Amino acid sequence: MIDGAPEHPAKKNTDEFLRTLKNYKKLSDYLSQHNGELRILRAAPNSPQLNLCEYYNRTLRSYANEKRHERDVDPNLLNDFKRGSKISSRIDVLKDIIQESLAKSQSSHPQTNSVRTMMTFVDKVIAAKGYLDMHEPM
Amino acid sequence: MAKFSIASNSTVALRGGKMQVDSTEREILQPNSNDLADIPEGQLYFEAVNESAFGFPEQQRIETFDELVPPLIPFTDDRLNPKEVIPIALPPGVELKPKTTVKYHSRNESAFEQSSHKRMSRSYEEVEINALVRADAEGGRKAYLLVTRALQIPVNTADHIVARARRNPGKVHDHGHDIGSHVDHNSKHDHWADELMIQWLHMNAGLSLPQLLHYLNNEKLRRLLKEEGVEVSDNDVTSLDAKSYLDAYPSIKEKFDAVRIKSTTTIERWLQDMAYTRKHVVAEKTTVNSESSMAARLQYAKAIKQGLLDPSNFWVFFDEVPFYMTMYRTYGYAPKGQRAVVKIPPTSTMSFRTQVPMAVNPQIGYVFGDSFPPERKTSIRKNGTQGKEVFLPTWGKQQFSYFMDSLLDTLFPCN
Repeated sequence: MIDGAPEHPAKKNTDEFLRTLKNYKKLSDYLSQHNGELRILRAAPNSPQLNLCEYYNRTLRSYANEKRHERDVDPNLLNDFKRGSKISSRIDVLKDIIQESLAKSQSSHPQTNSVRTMMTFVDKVIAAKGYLDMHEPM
Repeated sequence: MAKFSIASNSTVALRGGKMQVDSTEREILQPNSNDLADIPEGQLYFEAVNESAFGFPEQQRIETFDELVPPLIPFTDDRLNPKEVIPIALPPGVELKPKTTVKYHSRNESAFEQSSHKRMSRSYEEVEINALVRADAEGGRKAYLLVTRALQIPVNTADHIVARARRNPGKVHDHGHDIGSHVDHNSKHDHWADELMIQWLHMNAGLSLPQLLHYLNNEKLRRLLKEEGVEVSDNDVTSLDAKSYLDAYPSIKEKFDAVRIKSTTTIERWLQDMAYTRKHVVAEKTTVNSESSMAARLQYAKAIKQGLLDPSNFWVFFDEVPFYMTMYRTYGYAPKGQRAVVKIPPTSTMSFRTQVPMAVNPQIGYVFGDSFPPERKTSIRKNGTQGKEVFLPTWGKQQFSYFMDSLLDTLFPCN
């Protein structure tokens, strides 16, 4: 499931895009062996509640914020780096924070409650014929 | 029927007579007079049966009915020290109440003791208040204090009731203390005000207290104008020209001044009563519930539901999240009266974006993620010469392809 961001291939070019991937053969071999198929679903516009990845993004952001405010990391980001390398050094610190947060996400349990929340939204959207109530807590 | 207070975990039996007992509601309903007729005088007493801490019922004869209700005449009170006893005839409908405190053994004893710190609230019926007022009219304070004693009403409360009755003859009932009705008949808090505020804030949570006050006052004026037969639009709350209407109708101005809300604190209190709290707002684009968006969303939701219920499907949800160098928590701790401060690098808040794409699965959770920080590039001037070095975001179609390749590599490592 992908959304309609400009970096993503257009709907009509999806098959062509997949064939250009280096590891496409791995995918096609697996699918032919297991008699499976690949389907790319386009996410509905302005519907973060219906994308499970949004829930994981929030958790990732929470991990990153926790790391960013740690007593040994916080000074690193704000450090008075050498002239000419201030920004790149700070970007590196941020990258380290993100990589550590991703590693923490990888070792975390699946967010089963997020799946439940998303399915609740799915049911509500179907019942309301596509209407999404943004007042509902995500 | 008169109601008697009784402690929790207690049952009460009436020896020699019939009595309805409802221990769950902590009320005992007094039998009617026919039931009491068969019981010889003096044999009527209450008996409390309480569970002790060890679970054994513990019986204790507590008080006779005569002891429960202190004799009305004669009585002495140091504060009054009456030289002569004034006989008071209680009006029909007013009954003498037993003491509200009953001796008992209970694990929850402290919770029901009437201490000076935790006095149980009690409401008074109109007949009781009328008795007080009538006694005051007939015999003054001495007289109504006797009634106070008989009806177990605190002296201060009786003073307040009588004072209110003297101020407003004929209006003894305080509607403001009615259960379930916090809106006094003189209050500015109209019932429709809550409904309107809920509607307005549902449509736009960013409304401020002064704006709500302004709209509510406009609505009050609009209703007054309609009552007076002035033609005014029903949807004219925000743009109502209050000044011109008030200038044109001086009689309405006087009424409006009496009911208009003057302080935003009042609005704040009403919102608090409705459990409304101030919080971060969530921005909703106007296209979220457009016709085309709703149609696409409905189709997508149906596909998701159908697909997730099929166990043979392996779902991969994909999305990106941006991280900025100036990211920080938006909530923090600080002493009351001071601002919570967080230090950030000296750059604009939306610059140097690092894009983090991630793929997740409902069953196994995190599948794959990567980060794409901005890269240092040299800008080219219009004349073709090299300009300044700048950091530009790197996330694009090429990076998306790279990410998808990496994702497939993670999903099919053995092939």
